[in-house]
Amino acid sequence: MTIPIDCEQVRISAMAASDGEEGPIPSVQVDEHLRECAECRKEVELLSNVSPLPPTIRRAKSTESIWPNLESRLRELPSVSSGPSTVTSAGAGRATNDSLPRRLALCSTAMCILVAGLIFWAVDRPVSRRPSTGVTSSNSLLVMISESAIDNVDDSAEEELTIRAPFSDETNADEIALAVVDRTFNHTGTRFVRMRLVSVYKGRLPVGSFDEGQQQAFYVETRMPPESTELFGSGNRLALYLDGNIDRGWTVTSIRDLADAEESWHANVERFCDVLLACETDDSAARYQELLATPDRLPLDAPAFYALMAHPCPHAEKAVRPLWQQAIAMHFPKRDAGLPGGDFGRAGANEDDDAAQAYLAGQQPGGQQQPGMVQKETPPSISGTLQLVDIPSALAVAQILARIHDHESAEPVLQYAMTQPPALRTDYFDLLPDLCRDADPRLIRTTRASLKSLLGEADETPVAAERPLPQRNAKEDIRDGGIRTTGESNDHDSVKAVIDQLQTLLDGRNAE
Amino acid sequence: MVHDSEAIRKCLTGDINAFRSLVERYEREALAHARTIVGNAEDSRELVQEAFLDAFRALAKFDCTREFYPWFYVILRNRCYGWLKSRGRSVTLSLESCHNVIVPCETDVGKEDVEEALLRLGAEDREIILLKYIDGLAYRSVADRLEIPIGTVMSRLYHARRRLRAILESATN
Repeated sequence: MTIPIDCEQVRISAMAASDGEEGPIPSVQVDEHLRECAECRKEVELLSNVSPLPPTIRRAKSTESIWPNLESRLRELPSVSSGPSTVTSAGAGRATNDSLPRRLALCSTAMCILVAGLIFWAVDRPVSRRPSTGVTSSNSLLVMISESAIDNVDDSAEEELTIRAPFSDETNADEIALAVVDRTFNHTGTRFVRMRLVSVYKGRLPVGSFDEGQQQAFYVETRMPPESTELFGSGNRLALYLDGNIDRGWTVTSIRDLADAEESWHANVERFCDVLLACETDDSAARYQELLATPDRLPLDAPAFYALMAHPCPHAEKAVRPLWQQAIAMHFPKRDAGLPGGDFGRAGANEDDDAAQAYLAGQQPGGQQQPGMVQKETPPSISGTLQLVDIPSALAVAQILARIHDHESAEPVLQYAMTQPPALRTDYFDLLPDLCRDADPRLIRTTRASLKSLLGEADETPVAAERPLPQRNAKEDIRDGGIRTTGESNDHDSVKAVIDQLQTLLDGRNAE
Repeated sequence: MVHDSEAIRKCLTGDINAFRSLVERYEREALAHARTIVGNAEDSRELVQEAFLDAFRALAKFDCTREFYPWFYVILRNRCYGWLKSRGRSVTLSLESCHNVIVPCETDVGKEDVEEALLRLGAEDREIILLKYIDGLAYRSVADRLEIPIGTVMSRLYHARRRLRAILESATN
């Protein structure tokens, strides 16, 4: 079984080669594809003929230092003003051996204790607790708190640490959302936080203010376990940054992590909250469908989104399932579909999307093309926003499909993942046992056979002929350390380990 | 010259002058990068200052085994994109502001076209193209700076180049 090579991946690989880098597809396969694909040849030729920027262009450099102004602002920081004698300010002279972060924490804690209780007053106010409709304002302040922290909080003030989430008046927040941290998880090396919106305060904010030197500081606060010691804020997207393990088992990281991941995929925190909210409320199905009908509002292409959706969320799953299937059909067409090239490429390439939409519009359940249907209205549009361009997305989609027992759709996604270079699919190996835990035995067997094929070993149920793992040395893998730092032998070992785990799963199923 | 990690260690003891060495070492690069994103010198200076303040507050979280500037760059671009977002995420750059982003070193036939094309690109496209082709960063370094997978770097760069090429072609036609 031959897996079609994606034209865009070929072009990207060619670009990488011209940049002196290693692309997603080995050069041998790129050359082979270019011999057969005129469009790609043309594109690659353009790429190699046209330098993106003339060599005569450079960045403008500033000659004026920002230090004088920055220094005065640094000295205005409360923590600096009470610092060692190297700093001269109103607070100088109270030199201490405490480190700056320590002093920051102490200062913060001291101020927090002064204002303890405010947030609970705010949360308990009936008028403030309105039905959640999502965070909508661009000037919203999202505060994450741990649900278990709330449940377990001791009413005794002595055992609580009150955390103050400060923001400056320039934040100009007109909306504050309190989000309960539901769970966190690692996905492809990134930790994500799943939150449930508790309440949104609009209008009069449950904030206080106090004079901090010459500055008026505003705050909203909540009480947290003593482990929660760190604050982190950035502009109007401030979040509590809770460092370390809290309540055994999970770690809260900054909403910035989410924001950054999303921003990479052209979304924002507010939209993310909408999605999360939609996943967690009783009427989530309708709400979710509404969101899906406006794809520009959804970070549909975000790996984080896929990953989050892979976690229990029955309402949303039910609502979104047909759309997932469309997406799968679009991006992972079955190899027997008789499509030119075997793949539509990726969203973002309009011509490919048009082809995909035409295919979807004309495709009957049995895979027959029905004349006259091609020009009909396309199904709810995902094209243009959905980009299953990377392995995290593919894996997450596969995970979802396996969870909803749509193994037929999951299989091509898994096969796609298997075509990726080892550096990209190591996470895939790690994920496989979990992915297969509740899966149909057929999927487990197929996956196991794929892995054995990958290692060049025969299997009783052969699947796609995989190229063997390329030889990689430890140095290369370390260079790819953002993904994984394994040597070639470890890569083989990890595959073998996964094969064994899958066999164990199968044995368990048989025993059942 | 004090090494970055040594300077940071001193900063953590409250030595503000140690921070000065970091600022002066990287401010020019930071200003240039901020201009790439926000497009004008005045706002860039403010944002770079804010970013250095953010960095100063967050130094305790810095892993001294890593390089300072890539870590700082993440803070800086968060500041810059946050600023763009607060402006409605659609900051229109003037040709003048584009001159603040890049300058030609010498006479070049296509430089105006390229300047114009860069001006018309989105901030993220402009950023990744300049990181790669002006700063000469490897894909891995670009990925670290942007905190995205290396595969995403390739994909984004590819589409950014396509868009740049399309703009240049339309200008030529």
